[in-house]
Amino acid sequence: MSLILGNKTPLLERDGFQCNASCFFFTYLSKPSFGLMTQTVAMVSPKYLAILLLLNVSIIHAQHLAVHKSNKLQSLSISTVRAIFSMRLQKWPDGTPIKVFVLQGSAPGHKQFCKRILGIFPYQLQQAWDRLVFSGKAPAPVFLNSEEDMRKRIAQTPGSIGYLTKEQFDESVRMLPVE
Amino acid sequence: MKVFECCRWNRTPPYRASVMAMVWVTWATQVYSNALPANVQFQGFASQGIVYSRVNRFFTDAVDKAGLDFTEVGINGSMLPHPSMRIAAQILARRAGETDDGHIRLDYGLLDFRLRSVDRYDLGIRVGRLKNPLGLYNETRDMAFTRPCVLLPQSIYFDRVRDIALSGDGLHVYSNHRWAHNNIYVQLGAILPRVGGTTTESALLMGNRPGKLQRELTYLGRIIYEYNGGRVRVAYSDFLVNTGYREGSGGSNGDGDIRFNPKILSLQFNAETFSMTAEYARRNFKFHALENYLPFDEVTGESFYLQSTFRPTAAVELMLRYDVVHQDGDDKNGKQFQALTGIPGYFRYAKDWTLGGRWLSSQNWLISLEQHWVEGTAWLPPQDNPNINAIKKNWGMTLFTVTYRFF
Repeated sequence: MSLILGNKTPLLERDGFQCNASCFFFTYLSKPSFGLMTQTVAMVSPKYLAILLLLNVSIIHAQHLAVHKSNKLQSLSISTVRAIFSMRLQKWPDGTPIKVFVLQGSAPGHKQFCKRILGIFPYQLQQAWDRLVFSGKAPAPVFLNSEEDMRKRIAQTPGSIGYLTKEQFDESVRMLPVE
Repeated sequence: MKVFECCRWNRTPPYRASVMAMVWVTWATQVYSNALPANVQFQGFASQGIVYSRVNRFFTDAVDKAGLDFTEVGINGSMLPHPSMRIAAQILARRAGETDDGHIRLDYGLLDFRLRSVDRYDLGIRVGRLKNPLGLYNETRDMAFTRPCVLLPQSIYFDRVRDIALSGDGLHVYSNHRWAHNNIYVQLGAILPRVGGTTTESALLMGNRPGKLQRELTYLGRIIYEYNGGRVRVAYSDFLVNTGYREGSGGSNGDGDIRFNPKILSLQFNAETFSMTAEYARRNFKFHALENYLPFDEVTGESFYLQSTFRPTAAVELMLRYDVVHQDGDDKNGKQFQALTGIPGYFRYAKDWTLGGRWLSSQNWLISLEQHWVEGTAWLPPQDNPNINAIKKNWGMTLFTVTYRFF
């Protein structure tokens, strides 16, 4: 249990692997830790890891947090990133309002970002927005159609945050690691 | 052959005009959204339902005939004049059979002051007309995207009496705490409840009485615990409504007081393809000096539902729910009530099986369909069923809605 419910984002998922398995109840309960379980299995038996990789894991383009160049932070904790993208945390430590950019819900990049970085399912994030926005508690994020749009809007907007695949980064935006 | 019952739409031009105006504003704000200042936002939704009810009427004026009297249109805006202060408001027009006439109303209108907001916690105050934080669904109950399917479980979120539960005017203090895998959200409020409508009076005093209900200071609070970004959600809500009945010059039975205290325990488990939600509510009513109008001076109702949602794909959800309410926990089948009043016992409970499906065809469009099989009429709207003798124990309905939203 302690392994499955471990606290750290597992190395496998950070490096751009996506687990599609739905093997165990507890895997669901703490899906971001599935990679950790895979690692544990690998330590026990490389043969089982090979089978798991073949069956369940596909390589995808990893998303990374992207912020405006004026952002001076070195990193963000996972709880802070969740609070920002669920629209609960609304200003940066220096007082600048946070402007959240996301891709449309059906975009593969958005799904990957929710599951891999935030560790929640896209429908949960959408429900969290609806609950806050339609009761007057928080602004909605800004929905964009492409990663090119995302990069341009982040570059133009002080206080903004979004996500991009590594190859989309250039000197106009900053990458921010998640602790 | 007349398929849809449209005559009531024609009978109520203000309703039609208000809905048309809202749709127009919705369209205009979307078209011109790029011209808005960066600190201003508009969002909205519009939903049209088709209701086909059998045996008894629900949001319709005829059985076995599809009706269009279920429409919800809302538009909200917010502005951030200062990083620590927000202004937000939503106007809503809602038509739901005879229970709601479609007039435009202020759903919420508030000022939100963030006193403290750091990565680990937020502390703030909201003042104005505020949605009541009750259970998992109450605050956004009129927005179809936030409901599990077409209707919310009526045992807890009953549509026959809405104003009291929906919102109040006053002050809320909120505090959000965040850790790596656990969040706690607390909200406490002191408000004046909305008790002005005749539906509230009919529900609390079993009929439209000569006097009026008066607003008195009311308290509410909710605490939500979330594990792992909402994988598990547990909530407890408590609502202490105080209202006075003032007979005025119209009657001779004198004044009275009502204390209404619902408590709701909520539990939700969310996986990628499956969610399970259960809520249990106990609603205690205490009536003082109202024996001339009511056959009891205290009653405690109980509600419970269990709802499972399956997601075969990211865009499709299937829902199965069992929902039960007893108006009096000590008289579950209503036999004592029947002996006292002559009204059949099945008016005091309802057991509802619901099977539904919804399709989120895009970010903006939602199509929902659900089927109810109901025994008992505890939450059947009396406004849609004025002839009490025609109300039957076993009934059902099919509801279909198409909803559009924009961000």
